[in-house]
Amino acid sequence: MNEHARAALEVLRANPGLAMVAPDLSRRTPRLTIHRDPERPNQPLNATAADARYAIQTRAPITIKPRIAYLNTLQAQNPHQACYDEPVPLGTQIQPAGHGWVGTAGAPVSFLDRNDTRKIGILSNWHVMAGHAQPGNHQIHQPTVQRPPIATLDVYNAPHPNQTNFVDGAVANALVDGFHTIDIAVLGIGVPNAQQADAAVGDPALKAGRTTEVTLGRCTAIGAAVRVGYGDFDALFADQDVYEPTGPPFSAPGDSGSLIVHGDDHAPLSLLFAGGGDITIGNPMRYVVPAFRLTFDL
Amino acid sequence: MCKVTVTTATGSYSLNIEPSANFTQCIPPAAIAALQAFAASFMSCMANPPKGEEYKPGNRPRCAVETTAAS
Repeated sequence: MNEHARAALEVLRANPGLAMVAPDLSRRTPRLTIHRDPERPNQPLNATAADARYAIQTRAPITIKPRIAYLNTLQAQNPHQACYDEPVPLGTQIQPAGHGWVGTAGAPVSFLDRNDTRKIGILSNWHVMAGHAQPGNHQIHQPTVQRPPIATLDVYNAPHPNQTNFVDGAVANALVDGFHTIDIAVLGIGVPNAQQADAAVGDPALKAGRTTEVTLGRCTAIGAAVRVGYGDFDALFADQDVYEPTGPPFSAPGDSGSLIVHGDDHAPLSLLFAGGGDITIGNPMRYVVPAFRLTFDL
Repeated sequence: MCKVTVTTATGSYSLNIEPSANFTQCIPPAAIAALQAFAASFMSCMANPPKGEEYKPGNRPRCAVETTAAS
């Protein structure tokens, strides 16, 4: 985490009324853009040591939350919500057993489990595939629990309210009765580049998700600090990637877990996990990859 | 004199080390070679981790199959 990401985190920690603080290095004087959270009103703006080094610019208020959706119909509204026979493409809807929410099966990955055994599975978010479940008995269904499971939750990285977080992620083992249930391609995008990359401001970005399908956006900030409301707790995330749409909305509730790739070479950049308004937040792959010891090279 | 043993997948490497302000001066040449071999093996594995499980895609129909899993 560089000095700008640390400064953004410092300002966010000192200000409970803010949803996001992001570095903006496009001008001669570095700036921190801040977004107030309308669900946390009447909070003063507290000065920090970072104020001496950065100009502060206020942008539109937003509330940032995980991007899950609750089903109000079992009817697929688009191809990313449909049921697929094996091999199931990624970028499609999944529902964890025992829960009423849905999200997106983001990417096919090879990963190491807790016993250092390499497996092949689905990368998505902790809040999509786990919630408060324990690995080993949590089935992941596609597109809903009305159809057979395609994976079993294996490893996860859960956010906590009392720490600085970097990843809200989980991987589910996709081996069922000797065969893998998933494809190596993401619906509407294709096979991701085997090598991940760091997002840079200005990068074109693509993602395929359950709600908004395939969308094009742009990385507008890196090193952002965000306060994410998980319902019964808030979690601070540091050094996150920020995306905004270049046309239709880049993401919406239900797109949590989507893989965000570079628009040109489809290199995996970020794991989509939260958003608010036009803002989409992704965990950078430089944190996600080592968290699960994963590779996109299948 | 302290004896340190490093065990890897390719074998064990033992070093006899005396307390010294200059650590490298107290390591015998043979032990340095053992450390270098270990480091090379480790870095090679880090750069090219074994792929492990081979991808075997299934082709089983599933969308005509309903489950009784509780939601």
